[in-house]
Amino acid sequence: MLPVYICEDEEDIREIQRECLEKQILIQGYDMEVALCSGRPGEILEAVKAASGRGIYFLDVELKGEEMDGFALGREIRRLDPRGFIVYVTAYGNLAFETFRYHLEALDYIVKESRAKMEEGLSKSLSVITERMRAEQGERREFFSVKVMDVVKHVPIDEIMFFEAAPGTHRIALHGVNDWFDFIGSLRELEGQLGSRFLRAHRAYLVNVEQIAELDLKDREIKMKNGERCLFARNMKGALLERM
Amino acid sequence: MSFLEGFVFNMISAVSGLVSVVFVGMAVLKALPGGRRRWGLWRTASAAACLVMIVWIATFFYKKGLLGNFFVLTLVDYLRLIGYACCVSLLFRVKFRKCWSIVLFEECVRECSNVLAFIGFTDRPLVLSIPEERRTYLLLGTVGVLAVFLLLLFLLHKMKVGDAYRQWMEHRNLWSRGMICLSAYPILFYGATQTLMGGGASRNASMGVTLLMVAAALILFHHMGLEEWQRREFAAQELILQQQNAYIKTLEGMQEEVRRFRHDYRNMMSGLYLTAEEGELAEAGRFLQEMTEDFDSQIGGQIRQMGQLSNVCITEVKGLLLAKLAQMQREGTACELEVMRPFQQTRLRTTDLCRCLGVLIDNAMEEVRGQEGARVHIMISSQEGYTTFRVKNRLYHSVDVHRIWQQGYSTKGADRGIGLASYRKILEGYEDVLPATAVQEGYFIQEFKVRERNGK
Repeated sequence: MLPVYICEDEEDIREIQRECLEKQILIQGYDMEVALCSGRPGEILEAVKAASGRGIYFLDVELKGEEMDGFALGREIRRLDPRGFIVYVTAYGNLAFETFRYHLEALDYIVKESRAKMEEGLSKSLSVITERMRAEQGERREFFSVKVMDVVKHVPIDEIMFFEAAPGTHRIALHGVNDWFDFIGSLRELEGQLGSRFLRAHRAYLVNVEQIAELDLKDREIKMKNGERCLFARNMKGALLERM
Repeated sequence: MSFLEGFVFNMISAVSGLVSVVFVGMAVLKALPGGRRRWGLWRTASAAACLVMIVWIATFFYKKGLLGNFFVLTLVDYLRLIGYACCVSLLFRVKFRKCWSIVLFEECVRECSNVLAFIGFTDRPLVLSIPEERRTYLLLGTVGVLAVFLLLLFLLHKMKVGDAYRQWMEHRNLWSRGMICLSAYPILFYGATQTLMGGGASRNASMGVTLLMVAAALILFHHMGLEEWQRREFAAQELILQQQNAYIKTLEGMQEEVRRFRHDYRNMMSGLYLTAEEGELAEAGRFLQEMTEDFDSQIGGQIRQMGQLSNVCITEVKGLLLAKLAQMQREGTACELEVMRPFQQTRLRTTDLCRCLGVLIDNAMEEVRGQEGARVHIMISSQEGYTTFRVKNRLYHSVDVHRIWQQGYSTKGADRGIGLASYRKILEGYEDVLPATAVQEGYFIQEFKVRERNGK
């Protein structure tokens, strides 16, 4: 059962939210329960710490009189519950939501315009969350997760072509179908982490064997399925041909 | 000395000269690409052949005793310089133009260190047949010159001469004038030394005068660079002024809107009052709703954008964003700007930051221009010692993520996509900046993250 947390400093609105959520859970038969409603971020964090599992969070962005605002609370919750669902509730329709989504992987935001709109937003959020969880269960896709400065990026392993190391630095570039980004790391560690699906074809390259399209033996280049090319070392030719 | 011996000695000096050019190009001027490179076989071979040929010619002239001739000496010197530039160009796949400036720079510094190393010790040419003098000559010629050379390079490096030189290379106009001046330098050098010594001046005096000439040329040069810099500074200030004007205009526009809204608001309020008095609460509620929505659509957006913009505390960046926002407004592109926390400083040089952001925003604007519901999203987020710059737009073409960095690649036809190549190049110069490109759910996203503090 998924615990639902509400952090909202105005008591009336908090009650409306609780009523609405409880009603929706009952009507739709969701496997959830409202675990805590509070105006204090500290209380919410205590409860999340104690629960240690995935949760659903409806957080007010502007928390008056508290040392923590909704963004900071979201960040703390993310630390405790990396897979939880965070939805923001705000009085202003002009929330910098991309920033929230980027840093906190926030799911959505609801504007407290009128009771009807808010209730609509709440029930929509619950149905989106249920949908997501259902999709996750069906999916057997594996992800590669890596910390890039202050965010964690996730890339499906079958979308990664290869990793490229820049010499003299600890910079690694991930080349994927839809991604190309740099992060700090070492190819040796990645090799250990990713296992046999990836082959260290060259001093500077760790290649996803399943994504190789063909080998150019003359130029010692590997052509990937997305058309990208990388190099392989002379002594890796045998290992590559064997694995393809 | 036999021809072969001469050839070998010349070869050693040519190779060490080439190494020194490469070192200067990479470490001081940072004009040569570092990192992974495939040494193509035929490129390496042609570079080696080029070197061998020049050394052969030099040795040939030496054996014929022609090097005493001023013209031959100058010719051989030019051949050597051109040879170095060719080799570097072949090996590093860099334009000849660029290599030539690196070679000239290195030559100037080395010649200066040569003169400086000898000038302090003797006031006459050392007689090589006397063993003691020969030893001094060898010592000075190797250790002394090398030490002075490295010292000079270090000083130049500290003076950030690399930055100046790179900027200078980017300006074609300035480049050609300066290059002609610098290219004539070997002729001037030999010419001056020869004339002065022929006129009976002592060796030191003539070298000193030549050194002064070089210094004068460099100062002139620097002055030209400075002029250009001032011109650009002036243009930049002009731009800031224009942007400030645009800012004021926007504020005035907003004030006008508020004034108009205040007028409407009076009327609306009296309407609301009447409906409430008649007891039609639902109607009154709808009325209120409409009023808030009206306000939001009329000035809410502008206020919000200005609020976000006021969180940008670097004037140049604010100016850039203002200009781009205005341009997007003209083009009918909606822009969402998010700067949640004040953005006060970053490790990136402001000019570089503006160029990078400019490239990304221009690219996004170009992609959505003329499309229905065109929208660009810009985020600047300073969090816990990191700053993220992120530009996002909907994709209307399919994009190969790994090809966008290639010079000239563009989904919009030829002669485009140069911006992204230079964007990548700028960021490569920074250690603590990580770029990222992604295609996500039909959106194209470009970002770069900067680590602002060490030790995290």
